[in-house]
Amino acid sequence: MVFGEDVDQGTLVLDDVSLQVHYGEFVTVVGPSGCGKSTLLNLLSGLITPTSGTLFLDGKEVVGASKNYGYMLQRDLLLDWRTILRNVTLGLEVRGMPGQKARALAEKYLRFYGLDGYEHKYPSELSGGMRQRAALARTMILDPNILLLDEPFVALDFQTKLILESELAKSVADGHRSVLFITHDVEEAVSLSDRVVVMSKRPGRIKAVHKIALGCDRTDPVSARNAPKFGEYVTTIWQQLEIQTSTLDMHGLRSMRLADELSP
Amino acid sequence: MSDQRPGGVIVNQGTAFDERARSRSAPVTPIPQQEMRKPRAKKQTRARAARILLTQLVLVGGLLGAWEYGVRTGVVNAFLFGSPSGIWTFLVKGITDGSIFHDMLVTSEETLLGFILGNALGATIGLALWYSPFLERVFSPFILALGSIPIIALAPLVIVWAGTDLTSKVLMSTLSVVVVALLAAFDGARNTDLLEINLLYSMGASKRQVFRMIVVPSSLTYIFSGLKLTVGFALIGAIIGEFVSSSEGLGHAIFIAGNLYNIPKVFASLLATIAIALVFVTVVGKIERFLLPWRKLST
Repeated sequence: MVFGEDVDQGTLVLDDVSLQVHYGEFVTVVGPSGCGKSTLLNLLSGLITPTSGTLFLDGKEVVGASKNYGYMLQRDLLLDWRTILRNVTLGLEVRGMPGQKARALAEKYLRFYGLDGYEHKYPSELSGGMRQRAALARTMILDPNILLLDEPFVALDFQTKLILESELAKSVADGHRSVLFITHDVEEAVSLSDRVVVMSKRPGRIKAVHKIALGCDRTDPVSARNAPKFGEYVTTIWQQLEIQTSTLDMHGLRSMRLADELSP
Repeated sequence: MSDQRPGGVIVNQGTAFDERARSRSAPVTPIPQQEMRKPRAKKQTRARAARILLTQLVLVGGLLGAWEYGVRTGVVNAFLFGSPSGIWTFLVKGITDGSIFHDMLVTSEETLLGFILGNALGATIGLALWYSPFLERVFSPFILALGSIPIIALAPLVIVWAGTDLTSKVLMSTLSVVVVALLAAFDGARNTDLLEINLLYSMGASKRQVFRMIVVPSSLTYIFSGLKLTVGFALIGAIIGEFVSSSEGLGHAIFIAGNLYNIPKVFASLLATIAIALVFVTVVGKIERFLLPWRKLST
């Protein structure tokens, strides 16, 4: 996938961004708030169109990722009026799968994500972690070949976050999906990714790309965090993000805040 | 989890520790925690509800007592204001000869038909306007114009066009309901979560699927608040219709009694009107709880 820039209400959000994600690859984008991380994701999902630049999928130019991408945000977007089971079958229903078959499949996914017994609860009866787990089940049941994840775990407590990171890693371990993960959590980025892309502040440019080789089981976020090179990666990436904050003058601070307010 | 249920183990630490133990385990076991809080909360709610009811009874009783006392001592003019005992007499009379039930039935029928027609029409149009921004632009000035007409100003036209029987009252009732219902439904549709809509599109949904699976269900909450609101409007329409021209119904009874300065009868009919409204609101609430079971969970 290659794409260019986007003009958002007259502001140049992304500039000269070129990024390729292979099948089976987990790529994470980190960057300061307002650097256009989410814009990048919205471009890929086809929710907005770039002012210039192109998107390729499987070598063909496209508008938006395709009809088969999984989409997870900070908000779980579970539908209040549907039970957990029917939230998970939502996408299957959209695709016209017969109810009986969809339910059976959903029950399998709910078991995989440790939600058996909650099928007939409503989302408001579940904790944040369980809700996001149900959202993960809803996403994975469609077997998407592209996953676009915009800080899906940011609202969770640390413990729950680690569990969900591990579940995400397991979900994509089969290696035929492309994952584009957006976060501001450097440790999360390093522990999960094959590559980490560091972006500069607005207009967002790619500042550095790190290939992460931890040499351990990625589905275990704790062992990833204990890997010998983990700290080194985190420090390097932190420094690349830090440069911008340590060299801020008051003017820079003001424009950073402005960028923050503008970013969705 | 069994040691966390009320009356469970952790004995010698006492209640305070018990509380802390629960909140610490909250992320892992949020559901049992909620279940546990219920009994005590329920008791408190019941006590509060009883206190509120008692205060309400004292208020009504005090007002009626003062009113009756004022009439008997001559401070309040019984001819202009009636008296609780006079109203009671008319109520009893109306109930024994069945006349009050007859009027209630007539008015209820008009109200019910107008309520159903107005809401069905309003909700359908309101939701359909989401579907087509073009139609929304075309119709919005007309809707605003219709909504700003005082409904009573339409009564003469409705009587001329629809006659003096049931149809004209149902039409009046429908007209006073339809705009409110329409705006409620449209508001609901417009307030549909954009991210939820995008989520469905990301699954490859068509606009029709988005409408059916997201817009309509998420508008139901708004539509139901519209339903509760329009009970009153439906009654107003029916009663105005009866005021203008009719031979039966509570509006008719109030109109005649008022002209004859039969104040107690006016009050008795008013009470009957309120009773109808209460029955309607209660039934709508019951239907809402049945159709939107997730709502009582989130509040």
